[in-house]
Amino acid sequence: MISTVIWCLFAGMTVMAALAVATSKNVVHCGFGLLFSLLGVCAMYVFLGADFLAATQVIVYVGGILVLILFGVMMTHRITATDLKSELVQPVAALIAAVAILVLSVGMILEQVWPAKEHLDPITPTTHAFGVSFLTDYLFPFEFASVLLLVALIGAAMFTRDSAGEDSDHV
Amino acid sequence: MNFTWSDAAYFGPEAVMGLTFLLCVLGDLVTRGRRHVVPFGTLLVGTAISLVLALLHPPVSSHAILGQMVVVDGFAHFFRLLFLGITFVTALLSWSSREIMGRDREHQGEFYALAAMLCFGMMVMAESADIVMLALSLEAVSITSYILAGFARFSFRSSEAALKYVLWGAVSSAVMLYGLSLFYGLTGATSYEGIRAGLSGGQGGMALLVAILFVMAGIGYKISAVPFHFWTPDVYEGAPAPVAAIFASGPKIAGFALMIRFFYVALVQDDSQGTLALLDDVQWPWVLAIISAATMTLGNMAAIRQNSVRRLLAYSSIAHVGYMLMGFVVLSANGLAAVLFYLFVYAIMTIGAFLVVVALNNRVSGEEIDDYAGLGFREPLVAAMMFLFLISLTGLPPTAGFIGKFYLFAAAGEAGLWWLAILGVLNSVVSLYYYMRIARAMYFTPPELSGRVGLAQAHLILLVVLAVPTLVLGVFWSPLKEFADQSLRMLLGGG
Repeated sequence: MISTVIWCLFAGMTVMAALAVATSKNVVHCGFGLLFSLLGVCAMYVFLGADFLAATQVIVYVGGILVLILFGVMMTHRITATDLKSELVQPVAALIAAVAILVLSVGMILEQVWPAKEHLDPITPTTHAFGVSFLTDYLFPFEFASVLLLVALIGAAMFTRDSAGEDSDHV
Repeated sequence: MNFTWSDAAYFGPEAVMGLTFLLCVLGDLVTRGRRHVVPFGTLLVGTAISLVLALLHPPVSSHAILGQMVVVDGFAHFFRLLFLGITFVTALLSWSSREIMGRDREHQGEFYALAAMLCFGMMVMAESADIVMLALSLEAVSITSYILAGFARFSFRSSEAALKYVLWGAVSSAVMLYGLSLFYGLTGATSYEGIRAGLSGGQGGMALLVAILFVMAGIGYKISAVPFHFWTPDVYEGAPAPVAAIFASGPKIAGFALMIRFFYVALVQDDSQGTLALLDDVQWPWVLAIISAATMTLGNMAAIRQNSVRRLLAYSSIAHVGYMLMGFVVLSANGLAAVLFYLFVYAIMTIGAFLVVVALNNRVSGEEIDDYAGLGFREPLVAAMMFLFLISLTGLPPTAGFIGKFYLFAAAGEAGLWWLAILGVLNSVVSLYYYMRIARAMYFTPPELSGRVGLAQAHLILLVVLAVPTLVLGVFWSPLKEFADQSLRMLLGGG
């Protein structure tokens, strides 16, 4: 019972913070909204016994990406003064799509019987299982993902380079 | 766990392309980005080795390898060859393109590394047998595509194209991942086979519908089907022309391969009599038939209004996706064979048409239809090739496009989808109008300047190389049709 209440609190926090991100016109507010939204998701992972995911969520999203975003905001000159563009484009089509998605999702949640476990086991560490499957069954996806990240790195380096041909001189 | 060295034998061509990517990066680093010929040569050699490996060892049966993550079968083999061919041609055509190499050839050799990676990703896309691999390979191709779209870094339009592409791509892959997670939630399996097994227990219902719709959103974006097509014209116009040529062929075809394998392995049951039965109550073909009709009609209608050759080709490529979806929805081996045949032909003629744009781009300033005025007098060979590709895109005999469309319409008619086939024919008539606008500008409008345009030798040779199969397959198509039929046998027969 008490855990359901806490779960609902975290879920509410996630949704409200996400709403703030979507509606706020101030970049800094958006950033902090994102922080609470991501933390709320992290709490849900803990509830579901996904310890590794929860830790990754904090380390990668909250600790890494969000801090980077906030640094980017701070270092950009007068970014808080610029109004974020949030105007309605094609309201009719957007409304139809939004209502359709809402009806489908709500209908799905109410109607569907999911093949779920009745009781969650008490939290057991999942990291060992993760490590084993990364290096056995999921070795190929694991390696493929690392190549994927290399491509993203190359792209990032390419786009942020001053001008072509020069920087290869000062290695 | 079954992860053996013998897997490597089946995965040879893909492994070589992955290695080529790394070697291209390394080669560019070692030469400090000053000798573009190193990554270029690496890419060509790597693609050639991969092609030879693929041709020497065509898979004779279906092999699930690397921990059942990918399946190498005839279907994968077909697309493997197609992707390698596309990569080879686009590498050659970009070497002489100013947009890629820059005016003083100052741009980076990264292009070739990215082309290798794109090929690797596309090959894995066609082979994925697990939703983990589906998402990863789609993401690999997408991220590589974003970088390629913005390759001309100092061009405002190229950057804009890349940004649009990223935003669209991020949203649609998020939606698709949600759909995939629903599949996992319903069946507790990530492999296509497992999903099929889980779903046949009657786990359908609303969630399955939502899952299919959301996965379609991700794939629809990749193949640019309506209503997920909005990025296409802007990206094709903003990206460097050789990159647009790749986008119009490679990732789109890979999207089709992924879609066919996913839908036909996870969501269709084979009653082993040549016809395919739907799983339970999932009526996804109806959704797709409507998408197909909308895609070809909207693509063609929008193409009529275009004055830029590149935007016109972009909208026409959307229309072609509509035609190909027609063969996909009919739930028959014939329909799929028609799609495979058309994908092959489509790749040749689209790259051909874009190659003309690339070749002229080096010399002619604009890309409006009016800029092509009098091309028939100034460059008779190039204009004739362009005319051939346009005829083939319209679907008139004696070109490969005609045969391809014939098979598609026949498959739709055979399955009783006459309204769709008739709509397809009507759309082809409409497309004749706008394709012939380019032809009219080339042949019936006097040129403003006289004298030859002067195009790169490599481009002329490539144009001829692409024009020959367009014509030959128009009169002698049975080998390709048989190849397509044979490629599907393992996918559909083996379950």
